[in-house]
Amino acid sequence: MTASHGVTSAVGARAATGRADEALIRVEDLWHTYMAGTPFAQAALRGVTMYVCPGEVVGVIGHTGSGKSTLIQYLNGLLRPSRGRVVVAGYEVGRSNSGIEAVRRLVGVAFQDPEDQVFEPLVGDDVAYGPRQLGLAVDELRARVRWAMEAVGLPFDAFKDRYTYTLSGGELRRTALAGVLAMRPRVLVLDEPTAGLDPVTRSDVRERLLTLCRRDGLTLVLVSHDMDEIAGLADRVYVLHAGAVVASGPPREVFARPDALAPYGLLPPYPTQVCMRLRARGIPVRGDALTIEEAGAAIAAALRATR
Amino acid sequence: MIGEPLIVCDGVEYGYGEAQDGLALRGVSLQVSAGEHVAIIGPNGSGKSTLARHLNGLLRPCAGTVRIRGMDTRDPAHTRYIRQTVGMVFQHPDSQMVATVVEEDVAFGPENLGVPHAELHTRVREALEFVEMWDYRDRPPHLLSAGQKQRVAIAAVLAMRPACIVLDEATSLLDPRGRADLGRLVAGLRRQGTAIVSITHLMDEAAVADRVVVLGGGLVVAAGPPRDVFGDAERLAVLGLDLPAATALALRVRREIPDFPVDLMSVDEIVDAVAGRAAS
Repeated sequence: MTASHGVTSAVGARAATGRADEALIRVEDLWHTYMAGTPFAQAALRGVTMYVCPGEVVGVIGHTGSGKSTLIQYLNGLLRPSRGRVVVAGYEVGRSNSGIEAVRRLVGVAFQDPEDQVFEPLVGDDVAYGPRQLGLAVDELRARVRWAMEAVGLPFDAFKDRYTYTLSGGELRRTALAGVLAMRPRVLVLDEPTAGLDPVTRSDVRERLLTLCRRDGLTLVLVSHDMDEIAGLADRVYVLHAGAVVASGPPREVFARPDALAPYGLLPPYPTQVCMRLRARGIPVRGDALTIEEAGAAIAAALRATR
Repeated sequence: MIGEPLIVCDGVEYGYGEAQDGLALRGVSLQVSAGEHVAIIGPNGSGKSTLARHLNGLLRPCAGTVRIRGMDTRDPAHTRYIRQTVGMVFQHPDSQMVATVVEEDVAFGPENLGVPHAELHTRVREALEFVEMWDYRDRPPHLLSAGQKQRVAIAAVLAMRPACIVLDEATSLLDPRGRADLGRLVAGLRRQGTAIVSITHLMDEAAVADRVVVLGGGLVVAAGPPRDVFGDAERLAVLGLDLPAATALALRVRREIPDFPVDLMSVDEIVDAVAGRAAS
């Protein structure tokens, strides 16, 4: 069984990243107020507009309380707009109940602490839990679980009968991810997918996510505090602050703009920070380096030039 | 500030349940002195959290010993004293809140120790002021941010007046601001002489410790000051660990500038090193 199931067409779209008119998810002027109409009313989203195109990796960054988690709940119809619109693959969320199941099947969400989403005693049963509700034939179910587990780096035969309580943190995280993937969503929304993982596991999970995007046309919405992760994975990034989008664009452009992050208490990736500080001290290095490799090469070039 | 050994682990072995995956700890020996900051790093599954849970007797070794100020954690008579001496802060802020109001949450521990009422109030106030959460004392914990909850969790431990605080990936679910706040808090605790054992996946966090202990497969595979441990980049890569970003950047520069220093641990150090050379 292959990983295609109707998402392969998105692969070609990746080259034309980020055109609003071909969006798979469109959020328009979305507002949300918690406990509206009470003295505790608190605005969580204040006119958010964003879009996600097929095959794209879109990053969402912002501090705790910036509205990220509220926004995520709109992307698969857990919340329904009372002001603004959310359109997923043509379905307008909240207009009627029809289509809401299709939206939930199109958009899979792994919330922060995905460990809390693992509840079956055995790994294989846990991954199978979602697709089992779809009433699939046993062979199809098994094939999906196998595919999802292999896709996240849990060899099916070695892990399907492991007890979930014996898993390490990294294995547990992969199990939770496989459970969402086994539903075969077109869009995967991940809240802090690699927080708490060791560096090797972190880069392995990132590689696998990229493979799912590039080979299988999966679309990814990535909510993360880890700017290196956003820099390495995202095609475009939205900066959220106090419920509003305050900056957006490719990470290289957004992270190099002094007004896009610092006023909101966010820091760019480490290499970008170093280069910006050096420029402020009059050392001519590029200001938009995103990786250790780019920053290191820029610093070495600047040092050679002064000799 | 660094003095006599507070925690002594000697040949600690531990296995979970039927041990289908072998031992989680396979003979770990390590010491933490009073006032010292020790960072424990290692890949997922290397035994870090299992070791942390031994440091205040939440787990007891199958073989070997853990002694806190000389007291064996296997002797139940010492449990109360040991838990007062070594406090734990875990990764998930929510699982550490026991009361419905911040102030009561912080009072819970010392109250159970039978601390008299007047002193109880002083302790709670001092602890909450230290973590800058006194203004939130009447709030229900579930309305706080994750970073604020972790600060309350630390206050709850501080109110026990421990000699050592173990932070088990306490920052891994926090945003950068929450992480920075916690970093400043840890620095403040060290200044007042509290020992810190921090378990982390963030090498930049480990870089500020007095000593780094590297666990791999349930064993201590390297230990020493950050500059020594992170100086051996190849060894770390074999163990599946990163370098602090500053060290990685310095190594990259050195590939082209052979005499560039590599024992750099922070943004400030690397900026100064580059600026110093560019000026000379």
